[in-house]
Amino acid sequence: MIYVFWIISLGLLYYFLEKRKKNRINELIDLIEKMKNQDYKIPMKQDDFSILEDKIYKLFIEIVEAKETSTRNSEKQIEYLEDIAHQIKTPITSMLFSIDSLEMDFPDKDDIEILKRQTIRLNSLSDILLKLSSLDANKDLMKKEQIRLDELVDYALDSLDLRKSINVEIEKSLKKNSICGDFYWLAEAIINIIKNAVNRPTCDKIVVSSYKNPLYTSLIIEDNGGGIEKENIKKIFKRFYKTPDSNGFGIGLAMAKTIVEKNNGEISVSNIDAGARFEIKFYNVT
Amino acid sequence: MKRVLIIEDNKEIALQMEKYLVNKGYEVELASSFYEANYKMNLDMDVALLDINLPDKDGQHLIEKLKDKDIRVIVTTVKNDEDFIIDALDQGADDYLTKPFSLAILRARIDAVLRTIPLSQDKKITYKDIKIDLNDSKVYFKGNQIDLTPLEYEILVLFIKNPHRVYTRGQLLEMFWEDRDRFVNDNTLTSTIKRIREKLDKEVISTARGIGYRMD
Repeated sequence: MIYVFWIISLGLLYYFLEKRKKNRINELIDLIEKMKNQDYKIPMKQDDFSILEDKIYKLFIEIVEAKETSTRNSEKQIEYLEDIAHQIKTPITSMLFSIDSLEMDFPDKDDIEILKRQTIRLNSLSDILLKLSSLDANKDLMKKEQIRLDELVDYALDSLDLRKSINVEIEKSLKKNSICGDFYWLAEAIINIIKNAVNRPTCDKIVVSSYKNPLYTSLIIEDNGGGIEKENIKKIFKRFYKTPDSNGFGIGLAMAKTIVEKNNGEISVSNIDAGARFEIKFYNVT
Repeated sequence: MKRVLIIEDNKEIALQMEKYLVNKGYEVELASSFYEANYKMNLDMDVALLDINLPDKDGQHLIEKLKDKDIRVIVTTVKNDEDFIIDALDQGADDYLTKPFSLAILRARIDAVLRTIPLSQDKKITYKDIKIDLNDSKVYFKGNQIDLTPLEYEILVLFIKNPHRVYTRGQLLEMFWEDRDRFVNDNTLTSTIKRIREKLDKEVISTARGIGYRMD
């Protein structure tokens, strides 16, 4: 009889201790979850687990601090880059003024024309530097707004100022479809894709279409510029990669890719009969 | 003769602009700081080229002062930052130029901000291919009458009366939609402008990217 009582009470004690242990573990998990959500309350309990609790707390705070320092550093670096890019503009302005007046004094000197072209190129390089640095910034700079695809493409075409010989066809499907993202950055991405197409000497037609399924909304830009060589198709989105005949910097499409990805999208390229086909998929995230 | 005040702290750039403008028949005064500009704006100037980044004090504070003296203001800046330019325009600047710009464009912009379209006696305005009869609110493009909604008409009249002047999206929304008591967003403006363009000519109103619209 006494033994039975003993066993039952031992069992009860064991059960009670196990339950307490479980509770404490749950508390620890809770603490981690809370700290993840930036609720940093110092745990006050005193028992065997409190050392562990304390260590977890300190480790978390260290990680948070390290993260803050690195964000601060990258922000500073971006600031420097922006500063330099801005500072470069002042001498470029002055150089272009001088070139202007040289042009008037010596209207048929080829060298001046080259000087001007290269100075303008230098200027666009500093613009690109600015754009890249703000894109690379780890801050959440992409807005999330409802965008109608037809308006987005309209705006991009409007800013592009294409030569008149290029025929742009926009399918009606764009009017019905909208996506969520940053209007101006996405316009920048589309501008770069269209620029890439029209820079091909044989391109005189661009077709923009779109479709929608439950998973994503897609925007398709097709040109008739002859397509992309097989060996280049994988490299086309790489930063600073460009074909030998291109007179760009090899940045436009790489930038388009980064922008699209920062807006929950994916970009891919393939060849069709007459030219290249760029497809941007914007995933529906809820 | 038109009098231009160049407010610019970079000496080289200021002198280059001065040389060009004097050559083209303008009278030019130079100011290299906020305080110098503050003084020289009293010299009966017509236009000021204002570099926003002045060494001593933020040039933005000059815009209002210049406008009070009825001087047209063209802001020059190295910052290709839309918010920055929009702020300047909202404070009353007439136009902006982002460095680098060409001297020929500088001159064209100076002339543009000084130009006002005279209203003929019978209340008709003509600008390029567009003719507006303010008496009966009729719009003609290349001689053909165009049907516009009242809103489209009002916007077109504003642009025609102030050619070359940039209006920020914010300014336009405030002017035309503020008291109309309906839901608006940026897209409403975009599509209204688009409709005007479709009814007239594609190039009637041009987009200042990220900033607003102007009539060229």
